[in-house]
Amino acid sequence: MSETKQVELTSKDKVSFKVDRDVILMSGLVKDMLEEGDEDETPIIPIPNVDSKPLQKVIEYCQYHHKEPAQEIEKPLKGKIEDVICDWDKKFLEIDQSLLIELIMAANYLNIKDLLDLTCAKVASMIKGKSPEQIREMFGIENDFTPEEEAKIREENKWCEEA
Amino acid sequence: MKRKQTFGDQKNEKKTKANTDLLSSGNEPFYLPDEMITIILSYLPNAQILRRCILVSKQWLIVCGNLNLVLNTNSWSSCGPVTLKKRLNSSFANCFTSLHIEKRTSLKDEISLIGESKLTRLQYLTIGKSSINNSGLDAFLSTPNVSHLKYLNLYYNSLKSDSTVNGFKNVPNLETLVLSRNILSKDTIRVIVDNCPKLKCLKLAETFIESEGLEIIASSENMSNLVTLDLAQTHLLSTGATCLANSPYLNNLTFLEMYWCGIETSGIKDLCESGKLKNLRTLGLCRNSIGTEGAKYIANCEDLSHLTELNIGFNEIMDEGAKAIFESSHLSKLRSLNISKNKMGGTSEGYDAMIQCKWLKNLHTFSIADNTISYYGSTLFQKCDLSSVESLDLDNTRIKTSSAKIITESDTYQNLNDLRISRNSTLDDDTAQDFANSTTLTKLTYLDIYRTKISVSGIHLIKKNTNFPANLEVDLPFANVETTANKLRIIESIEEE
Repeated sequence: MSETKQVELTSKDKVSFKVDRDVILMSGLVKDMLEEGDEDETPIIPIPNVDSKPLQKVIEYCQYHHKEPAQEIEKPLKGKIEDVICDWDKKFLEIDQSLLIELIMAANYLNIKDLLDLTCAKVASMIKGKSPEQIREMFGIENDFTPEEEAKIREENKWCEEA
Repeated sequence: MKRKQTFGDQKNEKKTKANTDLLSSGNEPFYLPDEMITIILSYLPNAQILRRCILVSKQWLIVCGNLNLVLNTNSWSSCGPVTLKKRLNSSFANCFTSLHIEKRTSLKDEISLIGESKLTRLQYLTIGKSSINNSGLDAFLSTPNVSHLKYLNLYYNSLKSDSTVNGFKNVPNLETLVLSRNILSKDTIRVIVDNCPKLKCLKLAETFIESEGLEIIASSENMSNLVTLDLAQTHLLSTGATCLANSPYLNNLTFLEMYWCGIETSGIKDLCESGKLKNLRTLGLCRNSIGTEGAKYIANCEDLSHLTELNIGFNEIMDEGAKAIFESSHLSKLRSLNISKNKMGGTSEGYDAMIQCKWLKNLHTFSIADNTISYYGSTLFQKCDLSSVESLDLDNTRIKTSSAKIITESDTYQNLNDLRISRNSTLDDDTAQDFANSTTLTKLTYLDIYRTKISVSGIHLIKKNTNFPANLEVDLPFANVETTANKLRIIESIEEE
């Protein structure tokens, strides 16, 4: 009788995931959609912005953290992110960078604040201590400053170590 | 099923377009929208953001320009007006919404630099201890950069009562205004009251505005939003308290500080009967003259049922008044009580009531310093339920070794992290031995034994107890350690052991 209600999520690349309703309610987006009164046995929810790989990770995160609420990560980060998060999260974040970025986008789209914070803090931890050039390289960002603009800012911000 | 558009969703579409303009390649596979960069940057220190992140790309520069960073100039003492101007006008000055300037004596002549700088998004501003006078402040408050200010802290700035600061007309969005340690004219108070209707927090400690100044605040409908009011050392007297009690508008106060205001029983009576205290969480009345009768008015005030913090130290309260406080059923939400420097101990009734008190067990912070406990002896510490107490001040209470022993042994005191047994001259190395043997005080990080008879070897004993946290700080017992250097030498010798 008291069988757990499920929800079916369909990713951008048309892969379906059956998830316990309680678990996926961590997503503000899914919660809002379910609250719009759908009485289906197993409602099908399209997630057209998220591929199956990051979606799989999102579900994994929710399955763990809907029972184990995440601890808030202190701002600014002291040391590395690995020093302030639980072992499960550490393991969870052992992924390549492109998946990490996809996860950030997915967490944002699905409105899962704790996952968004965790993944963004991870990126912050990776950026920490890196030069502008290294950051650009990490994300494949093109330098769109003219050399003059760059030199001007560099000249102006010399004092900022003390700010 | 209808899909709601979420916040992030909407923005994403917009920003993707903006991105193609910014980046020549346009279709970076893992492009990050502004919102996400903002969250990422929130985990980084200012220096990293300003030195490195703003140089990543124009998108990052723009995102940084919308952050709410704090610009703290406290380390800029050697920077002259030219450098100051340069810094305040850099191309990323708009990153800052908060500015802190303290102890910059030359600021009087430089204040216009801030007003005319590129700090156009300022919302939180602290200018403290910098001797800007009335005219300097007035000039600054007429610049456009002040128009968004929500928080303005101007403590200790040589403001005087000889002229009116009309500039407060230009900060209508202020929610918090701190003017402590300045002298204010009645007209300046009137300008503030007439022009800052959003004020929630007003701190006027040591401004000596007297009851006439308070009257201007208390009779203005604009001040209806005030929740925090600090009137410490404003020389209000009982008339001031009565004026507050009669205000038709100040009905929402949650924090009221009236340290050393010369308030007597009649003033506190009017306040307690005014109906103004219904929302109060914190009431500070230290160093007034409310007396035993005043304490009774507080104890019987039904409106104080939300109060979590009460300071009635230094108020000539005798045992009968203390009894009323401890028996009060209205004060059951208290977490912090200071009843120090009163006149308890003449009879036993104050301490009897303390033992029976139903809410004593809720207190996290308790000071009964400078009352005489000796009379009651260790029974008091055996019988009182202080099981939540984290900070306990027993300074100069004439407690004996037997009392101290109970504190070191009883489970009741296991949450203590700050304990003061200073100026109890009978405590000696027997007490040190009791601390050395304690297995319960596992959270203690501060122990004050100033002017006890505990010796250096006593401190050694205490320090050796591994049940204490490693960072336990034991203050020295000696009254006559002349210099800090000397004191440090003694501490070092203890730590080397």
